[in-house]
Amino acid sequence: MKGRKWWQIPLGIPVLLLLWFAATRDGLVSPFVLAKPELVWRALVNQGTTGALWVDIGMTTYRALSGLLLSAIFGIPLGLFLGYVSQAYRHVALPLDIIRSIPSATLFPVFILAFGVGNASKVAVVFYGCFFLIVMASIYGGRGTNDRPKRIQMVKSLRATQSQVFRYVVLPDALPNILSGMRISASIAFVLVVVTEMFLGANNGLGKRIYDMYLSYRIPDLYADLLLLGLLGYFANAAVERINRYLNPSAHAATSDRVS
Amino acid sequence: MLSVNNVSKVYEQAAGGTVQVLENISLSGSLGEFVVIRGANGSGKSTLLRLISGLESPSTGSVMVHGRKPGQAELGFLFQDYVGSMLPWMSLRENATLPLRLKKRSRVERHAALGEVLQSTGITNIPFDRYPHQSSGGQQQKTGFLRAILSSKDFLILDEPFSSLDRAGEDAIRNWLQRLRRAQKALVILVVHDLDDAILLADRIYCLDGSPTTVRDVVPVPLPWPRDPSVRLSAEFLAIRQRILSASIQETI
Repeated sequence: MKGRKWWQIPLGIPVLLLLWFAATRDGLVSPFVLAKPELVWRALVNQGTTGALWVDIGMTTYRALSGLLLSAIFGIPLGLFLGYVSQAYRHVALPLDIIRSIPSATLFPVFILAFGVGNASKVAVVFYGCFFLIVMASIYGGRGTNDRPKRIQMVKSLRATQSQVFRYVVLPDALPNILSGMRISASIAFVLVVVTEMFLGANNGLGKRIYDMYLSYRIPDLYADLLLLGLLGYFANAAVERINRYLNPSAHAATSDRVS
Repeated sequence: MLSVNNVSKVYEQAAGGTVQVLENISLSGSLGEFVVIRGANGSGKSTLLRLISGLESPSTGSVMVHGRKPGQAELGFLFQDYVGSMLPWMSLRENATLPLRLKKRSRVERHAALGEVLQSTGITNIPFDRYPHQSSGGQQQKTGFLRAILSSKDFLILDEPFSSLDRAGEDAIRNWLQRLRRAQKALVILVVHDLDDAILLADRIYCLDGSPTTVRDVVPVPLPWPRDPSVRLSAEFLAIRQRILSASIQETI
C-alpha cells in the first residue's frame, strides 16, 4: 500500500459493488434472481450470529481437506514413481487415462452404494476428483526437467547416495509440478464437496445450506452463502500459495534485481 | 593414484547403431600432479572426465583411482556447464556447501568450512544469499569451484574453470592452484582451452584428437613451480608450445 498512487488502487471490488447496487435498484433485475447487497449483508450478519453457519463452514472445509490430503498422500508418491520409472508408466498409461476421464460427479451412485450417504462417500468423491490430477501432475514432475540429468550427475560426483539424489534433486525438481497440481486440486476439492453436500443428502455443510436457501426462496441468504463460498475459496488459494512459498522459495525470489 | 588403461567408450544411439567416442586412451596421474587435457570441441574430453570420475563406465579398458573403481573416490568436480549443475532451489551458499551437507555436517561446520576456503582462495564477490537465477555466470562458476574444493582436497577435476571469470576471479583461482601444486597434496585434472594457460598449469599435457578420439601426444612440462606468467617468454616454454601446436597441426592433416 505504501507509496501507491490513487489510480493504482485496484478497482475490481468497488466497481462490482457499484454495478450490483445499480442492477438491484428499481427492480431492474428481479429480486428472485439477484438480491440487493444490503439485504445480503444483513443475511450474512444474521447467519454469522448463529453457530450453525460455522459448523457448516467447518464441515465443508473438513471434507474438502480430508479428500485433498488423502489424494496427496497416495497420489504424490505414486505419480513420482510412475514419472521416474518410465517402464512402469507404460503399463498403467492406458487404464489411467480411461479411469481418470470418468467425471468424479458421475460416480455419486457408486460411492453411495459403497460408502453410504455419510461423510465417507463425499470424501471419496473429492478423493477421486483430486487423486488423478495430483497423480498426473506428479508424473510430469517425476519425469524431470531438461537440466535434471546434469544435476543428478553433479550430486553423484559428490558421492551422494540414492536417497540423497532423490531428496536433493529429484524431489525439488518435481516440486513445482506437484504444487501446481495441489493448487488446482484444492479448488476442485471445494467445488466437489459443495456439490456432494447439495445432492448427496448431507445434514450440514455450505452446499446443503445453499440448497436449503434455494428451496425456501431465501434469496439474500443464498447470496450470502455464495459469497462465503467465494471467500473460502480465496483463503484456500492463499493458503496453498503460502505453502508454495515456504516449500519453493527460489521460485518466488525476486528476479527484478537480477545481476548479469 | 589415477590410472586410465586402454579405455574406449562406445555409445548406443537412440536411432540404432553405435558411435565410438574414445579409443584406446591411457592416462595417469599421481598425487601432487597437475594434468591438462586438450582437444577440440566435441573431442570427448567431457566423456573422458566422466569416466575418470566414475560417473560413467568405459566400454573396454579400466579406470582406477587409488587402485579401486573410481566411483567411490572422493572427488571435487567443476563441470563445464556450471549453470546446469547448480541446484536452482538452493542459494549459492547452500550450493557451495552441498558436499558438507551430504556428509551430514552441521550448519555451523558448513559455514566455517566455507569461510576457510573463501579466505584461502581469496575468492570474493559472490552474493551467497541469492539463488542461481539471481546471480551472474561468473558468480555461479566461482560457486561451482568452491563446491568442488569443499568436496575433496586431493582429487579435483576442473572442466574449463576460467571460462566465465573476471580478472580478479581468474587470478584468485590461478594463484590458489599454484599454491596447491607447490603443496603437492592433490591430483588435479584440468581442461583448459587457452594454450598458455594450459602450459602454465600443467605437469603433463594430453593432446586428444581424431574420431574416435585418441591420445595424439603426451607433452611433459618440466618448468619449475611456482610459474610466473613471464616464463612464457622462455625458450623452453616456446618449445613446449611449438610441440603442442604441431600435434594439433598433424591432427588437422
